[in-house]
Amino acid sequence: MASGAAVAAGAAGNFLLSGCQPKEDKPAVDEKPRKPLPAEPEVTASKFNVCNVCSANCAMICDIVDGKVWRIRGNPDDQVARGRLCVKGYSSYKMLYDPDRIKFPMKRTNPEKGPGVDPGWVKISWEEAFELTGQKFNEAKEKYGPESIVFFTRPHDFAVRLAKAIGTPNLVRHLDTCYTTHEATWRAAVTGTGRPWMLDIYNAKYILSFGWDQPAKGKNMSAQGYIHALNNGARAVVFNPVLTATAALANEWIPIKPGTDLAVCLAMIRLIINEELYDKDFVEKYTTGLEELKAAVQEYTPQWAEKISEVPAATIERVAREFATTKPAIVPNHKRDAGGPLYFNGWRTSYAFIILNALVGSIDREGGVVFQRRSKLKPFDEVFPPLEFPAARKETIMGKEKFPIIGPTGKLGFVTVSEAILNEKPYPVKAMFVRKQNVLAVPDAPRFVEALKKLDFVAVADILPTEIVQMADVVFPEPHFLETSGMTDRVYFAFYPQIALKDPVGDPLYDTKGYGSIIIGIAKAMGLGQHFEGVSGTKLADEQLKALGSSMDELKASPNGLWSDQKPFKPREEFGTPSKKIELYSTVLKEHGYDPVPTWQPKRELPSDTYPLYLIVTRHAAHRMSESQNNELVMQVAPENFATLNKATAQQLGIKDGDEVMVESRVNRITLKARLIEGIRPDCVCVEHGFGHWSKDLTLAFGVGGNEGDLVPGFSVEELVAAKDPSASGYMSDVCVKVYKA
Amino acid sequence: MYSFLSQVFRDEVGWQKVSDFFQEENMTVLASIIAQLPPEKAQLLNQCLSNLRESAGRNFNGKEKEFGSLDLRKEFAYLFLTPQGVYPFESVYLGKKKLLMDKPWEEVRAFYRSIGIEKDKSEIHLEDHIAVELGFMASFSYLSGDFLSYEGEEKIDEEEKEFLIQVQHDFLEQHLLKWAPGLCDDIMAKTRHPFYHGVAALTRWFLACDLSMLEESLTMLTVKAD
Repeated sequence: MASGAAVAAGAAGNFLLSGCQPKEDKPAVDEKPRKPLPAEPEVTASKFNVCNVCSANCAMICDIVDGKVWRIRGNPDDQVARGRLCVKGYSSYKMLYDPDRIKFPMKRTNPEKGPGVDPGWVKISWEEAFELTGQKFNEAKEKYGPESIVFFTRPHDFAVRLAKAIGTPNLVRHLDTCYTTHEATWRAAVTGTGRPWMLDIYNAKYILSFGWDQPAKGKNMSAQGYIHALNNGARAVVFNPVLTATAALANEWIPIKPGTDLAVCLAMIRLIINEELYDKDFVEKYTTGLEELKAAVQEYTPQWAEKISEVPAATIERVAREFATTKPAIVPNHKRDAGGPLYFNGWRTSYAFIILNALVGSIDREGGVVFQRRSKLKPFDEVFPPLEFPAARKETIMGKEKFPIIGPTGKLGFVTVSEAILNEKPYPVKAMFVRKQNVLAVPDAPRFVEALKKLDFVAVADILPTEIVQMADVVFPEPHFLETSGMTDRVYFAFYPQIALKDPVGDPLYDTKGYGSIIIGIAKAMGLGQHFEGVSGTKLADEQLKALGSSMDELKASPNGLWSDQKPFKPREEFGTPSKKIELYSTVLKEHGYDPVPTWQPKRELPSDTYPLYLIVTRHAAHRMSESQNNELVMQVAPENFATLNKATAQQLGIKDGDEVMVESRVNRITLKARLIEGIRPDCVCVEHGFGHWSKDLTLAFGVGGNEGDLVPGFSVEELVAAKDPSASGYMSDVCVKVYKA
Repeated sequence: MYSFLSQVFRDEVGWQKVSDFFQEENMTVLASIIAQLPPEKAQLLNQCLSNLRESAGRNFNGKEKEFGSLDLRKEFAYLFLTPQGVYPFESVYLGKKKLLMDKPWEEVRAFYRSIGIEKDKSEIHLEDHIAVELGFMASFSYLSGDFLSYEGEEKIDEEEKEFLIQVQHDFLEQHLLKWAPGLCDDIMAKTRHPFYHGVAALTRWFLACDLSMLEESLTMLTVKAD
């Protein structure tokens, strides 16, 4: 369909306008670069940097005109960027020049906290910010134990060391709302460690998507790979309740009932095994458990799956045969697809994805799901050997010790953090250090606000005055990533080791400090400076590069801002399971008391008379979670989020396009404008994530749209343990809602 | 005056600094300058000074302690560090995109460069921050032996004096007066503290009056030269 891409990416955001349907024909997609803008000024300098908007970390080139970033380009020699960026990357410099940025360290003078409360900020010196934080953390440590201090951050060597030096085991991470389903199942059935991050969509000939929507969400390498594959004759079939841009570009869109992808996957696995369509060489050589799997899936006929998923049995059969007989084929997975932490059965669906990929020989093979060939960077602890740390309590507020597969990774805690704080389980939390996380990302965000109010002290390092900053007692202003230096390894697409340079575009605009310096400042103020003797980010980067036979000086001198160790792709022959093979019947899952094969389990919440609609959550291609709604350029592209409904459903509810509506779940309700399309199942309402900011200090974002995370309930650790889910995931779309006119 | 205003917009000020500004010596000089103004302008500027002095007086005299220094610090952060206050940058006021380092910032830099000066490395604010622009005016008024900056005045020749006054005049006309009145109006509308209300009112009127005085000085210099 020629117009699909343009329409889908246009005024209707990620959605296809009503009346448009994808066609069976190969889509005509324009891969040509856009014409350059007229009257280009003379570029006075070009600086290499790495996009920090998302974890893809595309290498970029920043063209400077008279001391200011004029344009950002993708680095053509970077494996991830391939000379292009997404909207988020191209527009990222707008945040650099955002006058709303936090300018100096500040402390709160108003003890009352919450939405609409003026914190009564006063400017303080860096010394005072460190001293106050150190004093408050030490008070919590002495009165309630080191475990009463929680790190609510993304992983960072410096922060992990500080947590260890303090003696707290509580590093809360957001990945149980992001990808722990994938992590746990890959870890158990394939790797013994983490999950693969590379999807070699570029070389795929058959792309079978179950809710995988990265091209529509603007993930650079996925979007480029998808367009390239389609133009190269690949066939794409998309199962998704919503006709997103990924579905619009596909050869076939199948509007599956939400949370039933597992049923279709199981029926496909059964058919592929029973009809012996699987890659016999690969399965025999690299997998175990085929017979056990075959026995376990016999009840899952296509007819059975049709009743559950509303996908015709004949379609399931046809697609399964096409998938198994077209090489290379891939079931892509990334984060919040149908195998992500969306539904109660997410981990089982993720395991089914692994099995489908294994059956067609697409694990660590070109055109399939590939393990990234990262640079062997010398670990932080080898560069800066640690001193002895105090013993930390085994029991954590995240319940790490209760999840034998995902627990050791530490990639959990977001879903349960509110209940842990409010119920003081397993013990009281008194102080928190936050970085690069926000209130809006936590399930049932209003309850998390209540949890934050219960804390004695919150310190936040951030760039913009977000909601979590409004809850802080001390704020540390960080530089924008374009103001930072260093280097970043390639992860999301790395056929060979490659490292990209980060060279600041100019002097910092405000009185900011890098994250590493902030951590060291707090450590010194707590009397723990000895753990950071001689430690610096610059030295770490240099030592790591020297261990690879290079150096920061050499990287800086590199003509393309990259260090590469290009070598031919060698597919993996052994895997990290007890059998050293991909386990179609997981002995690891069995050992820990989980189902060793992905048997059927329905989603948790089903439509009822009170809440008759499924909630679907997606992301706009131009927005990065809740971080980009104050970017003036992004907001021109996507100025608000909507409650997207099927026209027929809206008519029944008496809702017109543009009406203000309430979307209500059993925990909260939000107000949004209705957007009516035909490309969504009538039993669904779809909301884009990222909006609903209540911080008045975000001038553009404040009061725009609603936060769908408010509708999603959080859980206690005990509830997740009872769910017998090895991934401890958050079920971020497993909620039903009602919609009515506001 | 410019130096005082620059400091007030740059950072938190304690009551002592405000008190110092209103010392008799400074006020005498100010009064002599104001006396050169047309009566209606002189009256307005005097009124602004009087209001500011009254607001400050309630605090540093300790007689009517309405606001402590914490309130002044909170108000500074509210007005100049959080987006609920004002954005004290010419780029935000005059730029189309309301962002930092937009075209007006380029123009301010170009102005500085046209007379051969660059922002000092130690200056943490951008070139078009109100404190930096007022600081620029303070430096040039000092050099031209103008207004309050009479101490240490060196004898300078008329031609150089004309150049220095012309620079001040042009910068006021091309930059400060194009956006600072709007900034001051916003401060007056948003502030919850009489001190910053007084500062904004004073700045607004002072800039307008200074332009008149600079114009008059230029005319006089031209007449002299003729």
